[in-house]
Amino acid sequence: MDFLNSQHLTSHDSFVHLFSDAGDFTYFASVSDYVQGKQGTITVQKAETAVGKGKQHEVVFHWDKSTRGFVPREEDMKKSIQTNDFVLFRFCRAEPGQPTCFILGHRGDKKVEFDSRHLRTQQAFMHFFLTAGEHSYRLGRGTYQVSVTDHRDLEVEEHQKRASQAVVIVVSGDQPSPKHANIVTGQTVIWAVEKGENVSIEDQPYKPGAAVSPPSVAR
Amino acid sequence: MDATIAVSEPGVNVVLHKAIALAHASKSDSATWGPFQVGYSASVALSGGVAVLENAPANKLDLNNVHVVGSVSAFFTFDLGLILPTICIPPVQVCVDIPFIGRVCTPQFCITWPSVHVPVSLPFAFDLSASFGFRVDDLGTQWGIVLLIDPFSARFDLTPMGPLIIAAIQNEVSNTLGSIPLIGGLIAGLVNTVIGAFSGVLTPILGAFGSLINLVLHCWTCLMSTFRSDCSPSIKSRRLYRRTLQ
Repeated sequence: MDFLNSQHLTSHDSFVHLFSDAGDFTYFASVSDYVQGKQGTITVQKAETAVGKGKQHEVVFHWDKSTRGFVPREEDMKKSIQTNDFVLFRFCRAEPGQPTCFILGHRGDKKVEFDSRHLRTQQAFMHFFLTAGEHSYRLGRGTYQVSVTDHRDLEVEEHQKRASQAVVIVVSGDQPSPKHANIVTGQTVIWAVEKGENVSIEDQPYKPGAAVSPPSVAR
Repeated sequence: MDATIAVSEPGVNVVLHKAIALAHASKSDSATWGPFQVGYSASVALSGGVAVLENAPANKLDLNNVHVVGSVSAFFTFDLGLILPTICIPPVQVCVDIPFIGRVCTPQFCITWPSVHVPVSLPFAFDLSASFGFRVDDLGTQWGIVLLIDPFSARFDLTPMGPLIIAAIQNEVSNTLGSIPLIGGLIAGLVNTVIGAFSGVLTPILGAFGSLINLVLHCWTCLMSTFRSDCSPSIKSRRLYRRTLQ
């Protein structure tokens, strides 16, 4: 079964952060609050690009067995981007013994800019589903579901067609939309936070009929 | 003082068949050939066989047509990551527009190849003939026959096991890879890569199986060599042997 938890990233996960402000930032991937991984820098230059029109950049980490830490690719150590560009942090192929991690970013003044454990507005968490079955996950106070159909249960063409589409679950507050996603193995789900703070996606043991939304709150 | 000891060939046959019926032995071992770890055990049971005594000066006991049946139980464990190349999926990038972030393209994920465990049971059967020297001991109220091992190496052919092992590995690797999405078109080639790697070590693996079976049979002959029987001197003999008592 896939391990689905935005607070503990695996090689099947990615984290996206949109840089809306100019400045100098540092980032690293770490296995705990007490161990800092090798640090890279991102310089964001001011531009007139609108939100939603920025470019995608990538930072790829690999697990270094000798230092027992995550290290960015050499070409990702110093990145230069523009405001409203976004960076997708991901991983190379998993190495034996590779632990889960989180990604942390700071502004030049050491203020936390992003923390993949606590998703917020204009950030996203992605998971590539390899195994079929019913996946339940907790988001806020609700429990939601992703049903994954085995590719062997589909015609090859049908599977390839569906796998060539990414599924986006838009998170607003603690409400995902759609609440129940139907996908196939080999498909990536993107939980994109339109509005929210301290959001996380954490897998739950699947119980049929257990998917529930918290009661609506009048605002 | 010279004494003449008579040993009955039918009596020896009765005794040896009893001994053979008890002979059921097994041994196990493990080794690594390249990326393939193999644990294996051989169990052997014997039946039938005809004992023929040869007069002095040969003083031999020929044991012919002993039916040997048994099986090699083996498990092959290997990490596909040590054999297969890196493959990343999906083969094409998938992009989607998210208004409050931008046009997000999902990355490829490189497959972490799993380990494969293939258990196989490989039966075998062959007839064995062996020669023993023997000695008759005076044990007071009984006579004991002590077989003296005439070292032999059983000749048998384990090559028919090769296709069975390869088929089992092919099947398991196909099933394992089949569970990974988006590599359907590559599976045949990947299985061939694994079988190609395995073919290079098949012969030494079968050699190790043969050595283990030989070891079991050798232990059986050790068992036989210490077998002592009730052979009364009064039994009518077909063949006579002379032994000098000090």
